[in-house]
Amino acid sequence: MSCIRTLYRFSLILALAFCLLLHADFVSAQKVALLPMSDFSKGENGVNLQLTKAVETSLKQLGVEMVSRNDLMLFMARNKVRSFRFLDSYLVKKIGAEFDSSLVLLGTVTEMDEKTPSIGLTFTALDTVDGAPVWSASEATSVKEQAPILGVGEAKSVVDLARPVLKDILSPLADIAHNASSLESRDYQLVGLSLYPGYVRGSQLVKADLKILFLGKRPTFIAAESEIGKSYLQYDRRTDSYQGEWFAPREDGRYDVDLRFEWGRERTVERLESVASYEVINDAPGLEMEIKKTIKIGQRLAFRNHVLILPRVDNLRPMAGWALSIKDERGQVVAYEEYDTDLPERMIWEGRGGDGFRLDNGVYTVGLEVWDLAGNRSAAEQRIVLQAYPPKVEGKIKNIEGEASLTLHAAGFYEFPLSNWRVELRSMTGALLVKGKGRELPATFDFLPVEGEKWAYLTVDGVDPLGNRLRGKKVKLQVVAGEKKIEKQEAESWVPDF
Amino acid sequence: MQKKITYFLLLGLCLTLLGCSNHHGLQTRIMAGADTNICSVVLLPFENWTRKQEVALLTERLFTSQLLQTGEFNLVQAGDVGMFFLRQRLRPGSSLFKRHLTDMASQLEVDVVIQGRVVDAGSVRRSGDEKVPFLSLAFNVYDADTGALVLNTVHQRKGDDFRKLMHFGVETTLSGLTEKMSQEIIEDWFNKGITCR
Repeated sequence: MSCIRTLYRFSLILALAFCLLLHADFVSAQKVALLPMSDFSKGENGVNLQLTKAVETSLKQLGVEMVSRNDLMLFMARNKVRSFRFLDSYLVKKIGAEFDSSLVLLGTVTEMDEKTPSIGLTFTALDTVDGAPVWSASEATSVKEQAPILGVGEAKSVVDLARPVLKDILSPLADIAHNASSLESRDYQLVGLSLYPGYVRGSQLVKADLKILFLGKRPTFIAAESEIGKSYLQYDRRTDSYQGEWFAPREDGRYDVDLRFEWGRERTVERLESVASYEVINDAPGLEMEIKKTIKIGQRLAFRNHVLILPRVDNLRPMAGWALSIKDERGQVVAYEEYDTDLPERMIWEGRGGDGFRLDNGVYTVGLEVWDLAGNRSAAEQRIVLQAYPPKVEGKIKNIEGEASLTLHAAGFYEFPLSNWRVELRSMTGALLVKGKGRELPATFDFLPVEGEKWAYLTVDGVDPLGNRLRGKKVKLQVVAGEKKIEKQEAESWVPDF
Repeated sequence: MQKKITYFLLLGLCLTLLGCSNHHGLQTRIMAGADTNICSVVLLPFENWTRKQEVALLTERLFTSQLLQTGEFNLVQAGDVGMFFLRQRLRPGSSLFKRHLTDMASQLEVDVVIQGRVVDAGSVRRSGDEKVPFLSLAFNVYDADTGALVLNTVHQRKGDDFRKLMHFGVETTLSGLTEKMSQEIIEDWFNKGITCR
């Protein structure tokens, strides 16, 4: 009998405890977490703690249980919630879980003026089950809008205005808080999944770094999954992140990466699709280079002032960088520029070296190399002739027994000789000795020198095929007396000596 | 005497009707072929073209409140939008490209993205010492799946546009005016078939 009685008492206690537990759950579901109210009248980051207290009091009067303000402030500091913009659904759920609250209430003073009392308020309640907004209300008023008959009961301050407004706005919230329920969920805040490099060549290593926060327990395993398979990520306690790596597939294409959470012993799978992606590129960029503003002389391209370098990449892809090099005939690099940016549409080379000075006339090789983010490289080069100044012309006078001759020949570095030239030789007294023109060098002119004058003045003008002009400058030449060459005449036939 | 009374009564009626006039300054253009079945929305931080720093925040918060009060749409929490910007390495106020919108559609599960802009805000002085606020708003709503524009709305009002009789109905606060304008805009959207079906 006593055994039955004991059993009866035990079951009664158990039932009572169960009821209390249910009741406790019900009560906990009514809690509302009111965050400090933003106050735009005090600036973008303004906070109004006085009004927060007033709202708290109004809610308590409506029978709503509140989460301690100090605890909430600590939570905000711990989770770096500087304003409502930093409060995402994960943190709303976290507040729900940490403080047993069903709603998070965000209040804002949109405007407040003490001079001519006016106030604007707005409230939004967020459900801690899914972090979504479930209720909102706003109200604005001023003493001008509430002019009572004969001024009886006229609001004298903002507090007088706020009191009835708060009561009106907040009254439906009590019911919402009562009906709200709390739910334990496996939730997380995905801060980011970084894949690097984002562009790879086939079979290259791809590394993943996952930053994720979990509301409750962490899943047993987390894997990064794409169409080539899955790769489990390891938790790194030091960085509080998950890390992993795998080899990229050989085929070109974009590969989306899903996150796969495996929970508990049963390894229930939950999948978060297309969190990040990487791209496999195996082909080198199809680079072509065209050089404009050149003159074709024979088989060679030449310029005297500047050239336009027009690169073209056939297959569009994210470029990582490019380099332009200019080499001389010996293969020595005279100019080199490298940039980690996209390829420009056009480039101009003014025939200068890396030091900024004009280069000598000669043959140069313009080389362009581009590489994409996956590291595929492509190059193109072209030889061009630079002739920035015309060939020099040197003259020499020989005077043999009163008969003089002027010989002209090209000198200096040049690739193309003068195509037209004009010569003038004058004596020291100004008498014209030689005047002529021609297309080819060397050339010789005979003239009669002025007796007793050992010097003459030479002036040569000309232009090369690229348009470089040789300006006439007087050059003093010595009239060198030469010896007459005696030409040995060989006998055409043997004459018998008689 | 009776004529005078009738005259004043008619004048009063006219004034009353003027107070209930249509939402002048409100224009909504819906793009041809746009999908007007909208259930889930994300509201981006409002652009501010005025010199008053807090106006964009004020308008954004009050418009959000009005959207929620309709009970028609599921609204993404502002913090989640901030988190999306962080994940995409976007600064607040950055211009969004089509791919951002489509990413938003898949990650935040939204139908449209609402981009609001405060074009002008301030107050005008009326007879005596009376000052009334004015506000000018513009909205672009984009389809999150395609990135295409769904609708464009512009609206501007002054506080005394709502005057019914004497001082009654005049909105003397910017918050009150924003609230009324937000209601009008959302009502206009409903009238033009923007609903969750």
